[in-house]
Amino acid sequence: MNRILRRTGGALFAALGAVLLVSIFLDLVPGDPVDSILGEQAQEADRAALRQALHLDEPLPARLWIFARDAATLELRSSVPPFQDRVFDRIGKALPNTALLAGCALGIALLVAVPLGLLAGWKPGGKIDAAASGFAVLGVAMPRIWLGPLLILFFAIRLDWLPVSGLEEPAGLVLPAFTLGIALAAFLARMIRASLLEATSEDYVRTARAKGLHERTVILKHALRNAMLPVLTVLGLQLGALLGGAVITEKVFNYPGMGTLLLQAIDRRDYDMARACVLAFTLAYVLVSLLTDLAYAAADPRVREGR
Amino acid sequence: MPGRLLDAPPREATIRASMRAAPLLLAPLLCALACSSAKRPPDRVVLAIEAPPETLDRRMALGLNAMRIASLVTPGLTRIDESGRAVPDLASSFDADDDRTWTFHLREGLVFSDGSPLTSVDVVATFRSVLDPALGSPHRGALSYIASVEAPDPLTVVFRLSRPFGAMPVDATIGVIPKEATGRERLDAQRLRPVGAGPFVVEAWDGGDTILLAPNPRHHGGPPPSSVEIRTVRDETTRILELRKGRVDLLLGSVSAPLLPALRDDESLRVEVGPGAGVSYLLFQNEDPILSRREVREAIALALDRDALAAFKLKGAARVADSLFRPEHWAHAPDLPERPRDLAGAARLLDAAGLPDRGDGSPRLRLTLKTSTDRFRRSIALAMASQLAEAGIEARVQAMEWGTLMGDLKRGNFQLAVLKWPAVIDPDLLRLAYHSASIPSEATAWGGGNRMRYRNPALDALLDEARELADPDERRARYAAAQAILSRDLPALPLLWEDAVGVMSRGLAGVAVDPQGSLDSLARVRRVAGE
Repeated sequence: MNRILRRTGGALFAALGAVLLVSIFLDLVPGDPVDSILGEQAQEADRAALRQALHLDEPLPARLWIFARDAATLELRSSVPPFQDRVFDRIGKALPNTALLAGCALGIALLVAVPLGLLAGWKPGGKIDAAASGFAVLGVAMPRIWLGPLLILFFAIRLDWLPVSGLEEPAGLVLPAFTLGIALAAFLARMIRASLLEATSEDYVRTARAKGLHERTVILKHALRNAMLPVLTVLGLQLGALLGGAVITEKVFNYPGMGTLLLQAIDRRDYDMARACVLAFTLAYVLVSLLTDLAYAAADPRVREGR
Repeated sequence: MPGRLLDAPPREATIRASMRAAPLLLAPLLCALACSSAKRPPDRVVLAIEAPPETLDRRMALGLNAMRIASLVTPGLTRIDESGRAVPDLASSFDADDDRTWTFHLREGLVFSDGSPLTSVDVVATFRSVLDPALGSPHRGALSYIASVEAPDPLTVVFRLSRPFGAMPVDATIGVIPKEATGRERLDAQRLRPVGAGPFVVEAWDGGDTILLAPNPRHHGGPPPSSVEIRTVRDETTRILELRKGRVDLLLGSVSAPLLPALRDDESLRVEVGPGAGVSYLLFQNEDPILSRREVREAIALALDRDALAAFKLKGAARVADSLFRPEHWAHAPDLPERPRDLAGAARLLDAAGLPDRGDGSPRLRLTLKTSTDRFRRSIALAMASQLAEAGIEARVQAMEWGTLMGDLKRGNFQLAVLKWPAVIDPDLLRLAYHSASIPSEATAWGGGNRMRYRNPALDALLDEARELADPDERRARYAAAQAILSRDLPALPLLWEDAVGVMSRGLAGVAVDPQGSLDSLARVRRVAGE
């Protein structure tokens, strides 16, 4: 309990830090936001009015205070004219979509990676291992910006099974989930193989084998369980990254999630929207790593007992 | 420790459970596959755009897409025609009574889409709301020359100006909305569901990626034949894949030139290319010690092979420019010199400027050429650099992030740069681009488009005079003279008029590719059977 409280405190601190950093960086980005918002044919009076509306004539701490005040009252609105988009409404719509996509991608990744990594790690150097390694290299190396259109060409256009982009039809979830899942699966399979190999060379595995346990029991019950610990860590990190909006994949598939929202906020120089997105990402990330910690405790008694 | 793990049957259940949970995570995916896709109605045409509008309230709109879509629902007194001229739309005619008074006469029998009549009272209320600081319209400053708007009778609107301004009818494109809807408290409603007298009404939009426009049965020109869905598809490749899938029928302007050959080869698509209002231009830093000399700027212009750029880089969808205004534009000056490539001429000019070819392979002069990181724009800059190299001019290309690039250009921190005016409409643009008062500085709050830092009092006087004239012929004469000066002085070299491109499925009729990117032809677009 104490640990969870401590972690939650840390999480809030991390979120604040992230928002502060992003605000400073947004401030350092060259170029005048008024220019990009109003366009250069704008009159001086309009430029001055916008500058005032955005509080750009005030120092950064004052602007941050205004942001914090509006965010706390959930009244935060988009910071480009007509200042009407409610930031939390937008995030409320985008975040579930991104969570759905991340969950599906993770499911695909686990379904592919666990058996693959297991088989590869069981008989290293074998044919399955070679095939799995090939898949892993391909999967990790293939840029999503290329894999996405490739999947669209084949499944949406050639076979005509799925929509190209968007989420108006639920089937629109399939291709982006696979695009994200494949890369993650490749990565995870490599992780599982490596840590399984490490685990099988441990003493307790030799002991288990010496006891005459069936090989399947040795691998699944003894080695795999230990091998899963580092994989859990990586999984948590990756899920955090997925929740942070897989920006490129979301853009390619025109997926209405957090990545698209952030990209649009940056394009429009919508500072408050961008800040709020980053805040949401950080919180999601921290939450996932908290959950990973708990899962860790469940999987490893050493962690649970604080040893 | 290992011993403990060995004898306790540890919770392998956790692992099993997680393996069992994985398919559970996929449940939505499987469900998604099982669901059938909804078919769209046959009389709906789908247009894909690259970014969603931030509002459909024309008074508040800043983005081009927002203005274009808003005009379909809430047209203004005037609209811009293909030659860049303001022509009557809701107005039946307009006149300048003197240089500070403009009178607009409304069409008879206009009604808003909600059935209420549209009269001069609504026009007055619309403009007064834009001019009211409380509304916070970003166009208030641009319209601040309007001293008063009045409605002497239901069909007449009179604008009185605080200073003469010949381009006033261009500003009358602002969409007219009902008087009751102009207040600040109605902003949210006007943003999503504006009421206007246009060919379309907004049937559904939640501020997101899909806008549904239905025909307005009360439109004065009769309702359009099709309803229109406007979808945001952000990635260019995806836009084209959607078009090939048939989920999108039409792209207007959101296709870059390198993709044109492949699209032209596609049997199911039709590519239409027409004159466009966008023009790319080469900026010279006119305060640079070398580039301040006209003959050097002239030599650089002669060293460029712009025909090759149009043919190979823009795949034929461009013409070599001699002015910011395309030939179809009403203010384009005829008989400006064309400046085809002339390497010998460039060499003579450089020799005369004391920049000889030393014959040892070293360049006659070294310059930097700044452009944006956009891959297509960068490749054009690289092609220009290699053309300049053939004339002994070394141009080092620096691709820069947009904000940094604009920051440098504003402060005069460059020698050569390539930019593009996305839509040249009124010739008053020349004032923004070349008047010495438009040089970005502390005094202009770093606004203004004269990044070349070009100063010519004769041109300044001409442009100041031209913007005050109301008579189009007199304006045309002044602007022709201004273009002649600019062509002779060459503070910047207009490079290419870039064409407007439309890509559509073959079963679509009635689309006109507008130079300014206007979407007005959506009111005539329909699907043709049998194709």
